[in-house]
Amino acid sequence: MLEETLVLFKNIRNPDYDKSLAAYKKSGGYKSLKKVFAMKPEDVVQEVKESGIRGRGGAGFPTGLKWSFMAKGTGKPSYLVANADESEPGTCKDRELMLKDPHLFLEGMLIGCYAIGCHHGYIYVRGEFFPSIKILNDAVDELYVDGLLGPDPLGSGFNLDLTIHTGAGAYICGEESALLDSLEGKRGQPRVKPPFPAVSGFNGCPTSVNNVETLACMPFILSDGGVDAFKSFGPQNNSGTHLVSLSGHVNRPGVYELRMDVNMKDIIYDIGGGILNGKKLKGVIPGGSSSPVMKADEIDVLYNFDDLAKVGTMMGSAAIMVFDEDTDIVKLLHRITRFYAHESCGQCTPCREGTQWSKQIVRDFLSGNGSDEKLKRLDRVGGNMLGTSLCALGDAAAMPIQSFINKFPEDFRKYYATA
Amino acid sequence: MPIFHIDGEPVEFEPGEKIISAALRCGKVIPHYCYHPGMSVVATCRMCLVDVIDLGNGRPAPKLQTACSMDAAEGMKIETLNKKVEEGRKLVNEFLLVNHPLDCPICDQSGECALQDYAFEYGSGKSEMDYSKRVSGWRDIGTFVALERNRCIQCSRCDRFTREITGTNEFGMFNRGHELTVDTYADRPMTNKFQGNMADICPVGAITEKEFRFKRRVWKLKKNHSICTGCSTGCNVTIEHDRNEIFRLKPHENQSVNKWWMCDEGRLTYRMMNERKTRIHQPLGRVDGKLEGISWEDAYGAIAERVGDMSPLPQEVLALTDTHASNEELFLLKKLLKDIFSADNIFCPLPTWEQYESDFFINTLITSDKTPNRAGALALKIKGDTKTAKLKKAIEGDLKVVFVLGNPFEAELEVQEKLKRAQLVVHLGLFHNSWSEIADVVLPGQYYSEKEGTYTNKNQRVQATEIAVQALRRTRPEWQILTELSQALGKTGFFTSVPQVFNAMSWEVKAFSGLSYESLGGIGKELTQKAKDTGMKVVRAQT
Amino acid sequence: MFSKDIQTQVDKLLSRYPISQNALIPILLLAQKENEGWLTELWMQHVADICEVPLTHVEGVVTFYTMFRLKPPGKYHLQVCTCVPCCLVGGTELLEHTEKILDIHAGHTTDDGVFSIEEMECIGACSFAPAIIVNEDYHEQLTPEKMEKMIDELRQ
Repeated sequence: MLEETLVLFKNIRNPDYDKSLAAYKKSGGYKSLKKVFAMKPEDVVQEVKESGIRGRGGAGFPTGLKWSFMAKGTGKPSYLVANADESEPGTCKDRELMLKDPHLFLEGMLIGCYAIGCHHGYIYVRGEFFPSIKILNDAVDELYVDGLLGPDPLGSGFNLDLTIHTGAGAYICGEESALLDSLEGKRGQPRVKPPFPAVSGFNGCPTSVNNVETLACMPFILSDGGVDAFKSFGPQNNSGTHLVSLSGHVNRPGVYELRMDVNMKDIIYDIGGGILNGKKLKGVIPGGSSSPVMKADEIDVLYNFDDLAKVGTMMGSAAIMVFDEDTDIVKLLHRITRFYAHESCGQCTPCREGTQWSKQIVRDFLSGNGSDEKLKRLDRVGGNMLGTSLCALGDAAAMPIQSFINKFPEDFRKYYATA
Repeated sequence: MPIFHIDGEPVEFEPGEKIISAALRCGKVIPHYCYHPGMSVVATCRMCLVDVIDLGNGRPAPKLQTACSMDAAEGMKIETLNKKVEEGRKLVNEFLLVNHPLDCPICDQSGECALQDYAFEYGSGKSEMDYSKRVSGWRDIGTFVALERNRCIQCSRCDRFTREITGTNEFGMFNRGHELTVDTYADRPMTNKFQGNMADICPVGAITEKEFRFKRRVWKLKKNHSICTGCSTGCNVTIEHDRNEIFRLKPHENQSVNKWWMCDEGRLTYRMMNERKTRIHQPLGRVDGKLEGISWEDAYGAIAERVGDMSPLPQEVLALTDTHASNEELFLLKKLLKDIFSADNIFCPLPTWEQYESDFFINTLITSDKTPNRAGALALKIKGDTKTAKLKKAIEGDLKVVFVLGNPFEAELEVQEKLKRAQLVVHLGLFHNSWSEIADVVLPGQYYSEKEGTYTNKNQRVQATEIAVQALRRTRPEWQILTELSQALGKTGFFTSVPQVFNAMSWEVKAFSGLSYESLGGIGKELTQKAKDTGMKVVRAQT
Repeated sequence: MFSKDIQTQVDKLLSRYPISQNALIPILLLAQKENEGWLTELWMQHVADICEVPLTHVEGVVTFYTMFRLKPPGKYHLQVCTCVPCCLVGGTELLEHTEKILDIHAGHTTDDGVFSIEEMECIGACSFAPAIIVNEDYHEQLTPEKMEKMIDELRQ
């Protein structure tokens, strides 16, 4: 039986845990922060680098490297912004952390603030996460009362403040530069890069935007022996455990903390309990709706960044969506194209027009007007968004379209072959 | 200066300059919509995609890059003519046309439309889109411009304009994704004084000038580079006309004067240029108390005869002019007085004027001095007279000959009364006014668009106009009238062209020394000797 | 215009950011809550003044984000997710069923003003699908039957 490897979910899986500051401290919380305050910030960054942790938000960029890019000596304040705008379809893992063990994430946030010299961190939570916002606010209040936030946390002299900032409903604000624009009180539109946020981010100051889960890993990494332990949980360059959101046609959907060397087959059939109602598997969207789809016979692969990249897809935000043999592929793709058309910010030409047009073509198929020519057109329109848009949403909209057509062409043809 | 290569050719660039800026400066073609040198870079239209085969470090860029957002680097190699770029341009063009109404037959922008040009040059030539297009509708957005939202390609230039250039924040972008639209929102038309510029910067026919709509196809328009004479800023313009009718003025780029902009009031000065019915069509002489048409020869002859009879002393001769006259005209008028009459009583109104100061450059284009050549009159040492005190003294005695150029001191009825008693009043002007009422001879001049001339703007920069349209048949440019009149009154030798007059002026007048008509070039040149006090009062702009 | 308690929150928010403009979106959400779930031009102007930004800017922001509403919602705003994972396990059917029970389409409010329906993109409860949000509360692992029961309870 595939078991979870509990690092982040250690407290959450304890039925008696009440997520209060007291409970968190009792289970060993804020020990890492104490240790960190005695280190030099650059040494903290170095340890994070050595742990090999890669961003858990979807892009998988090495976090230590990102922190080392922070511009120094600019005379401007540095900022750490936590990206809690979890909106990638299929992903519901950050909310688990925020709802059930907020202090794990907050400790990681404080460690991050210290590492990059940030005295006022911001947590950008999507506006729909009302329960998480309330719990985080309560947890932050606890920290202020305790003194872990304020002028002198743990006697370090490093004054720390945290502000919870709410979004107002936009998937694109999960993109780091759009998030920063939204944080600044503007429309959440991705920025031209360069300059990168590490040089000019929040209000033009050096900023690092990190995912909630990434930050939640910091207490473990910075604990004694944490770096080596973290690395031991997965193959090289894919260190640590990660939270996998399993959803769709499985018997046991849920969020599971797993090592990075677990086979996707086991995730779906073992811990996931196999396909709902005893049906057969048709395919899997392995890493949030932006990732290229996989057929049932392709899931014999280790579930981590590099192994999935090798087979032409991506792990992204570790959100596995499973669909069975009775799934209407064209309807599924229609829902996906609807999502991207709704969430496109509209700034750049390929995404603004391409997401809408591709949605219209798929709808045409659903109305029975499909054809080989239209299928080719859909593939071409999708492909035209790849690599030409201003931000990754254009790529994210293109990959599902092209992969669905590539992997399930017969499902499209079924729609017009009978006509 | 460091160098990078575009399609194998070396291009110089300033450190920190974007690829597109250096490329366009060197005459390379990189199609673009959202990029504008006067506004921030957004890189959203994606039309300027280029293939960076070497970033300057031996490695290529992983995908096509927008030339407007990437800094040029030493050793960088860029290709703009290969298959990848061709495909990139084709797909961007296709995406833009997917929701475009193809209004070309009824759209004013046709003929100067970037979308049209690029579709022709880089597009695939056929449409594969057969669904309903997005419809956003027409909006009345301002006193000067109209918005046809269906044609908008969401380049955001207009949005950036009211935020970064005028600072009035009247315009914005609303909604998201497919519904992204530009508007003033909630029926609040714009009131800023620079709306016409938005029609200029709009690459398609979404924003158009109400004044120009549906009047003429742009490919029929001939263009002449000139300057706006609506005020002393002297914005550079192109006068656009067809069959002797002027249809619009558009700003001409001059980084030293108006950058890329001009005000709406200046644009409207084209109306006066077309006003011909009320102009004086031919020389007029007073016969039995009434003005009658006479020939130029008769006009000059009559003046010469009267002057010969009177033999006036210097203090009995007076000239009045306004500051609409060009440098050459003022110079020749002064010269006429000196050469023929040894007189120097020449006056023009020189009230103090207000110049706006503002955080936004465009607001400084507005000034309270609505004449184009006040600084020229100062440079030529015309006796300015802000309170007409000196003038009153000059006219106390008996005046024999009075020359009036234009319509100066029009509110000074007292002065006009006194001058009525002069024995000979010659008026050089375009329109009937109170001076022509009392004149004995009226000599018809020409409008700015009909003649050459140089004008000195409020920052003491000399700029030249071009002849754009034909003048009325029996009128003559004032500089020509003055030199012919001079000759009729006995002076030998006369000028045959404006450059000749200018060069003589730069020889004789200190402020213009060292300048030549040719050296003015396209952007003008500052006076060699600038006046320290031009009567300017700096005022903080309201917006 | 804000009630005393909320004004305190607004003031606190303004103090947490380097520039007033940064607090715009949280303050707009507070304004929307004060005004029973939607924003009027008056409120937008008020927040624009507080955050020292032009009204056009606020309007641009309000029309960009889906959570801002420019017409009043029902007393219970049912936000039903039909995105990919919810769609796979019956989210679309749940929405259709809800529309049938209340006799309105998504994007509308019942005549008595009690319920309004909004179709949502992913609300981040994917492993617990189908999920909806009622005002500010998540309800997960719903079935059409559970939905009906909940609507009846809310009606009371």
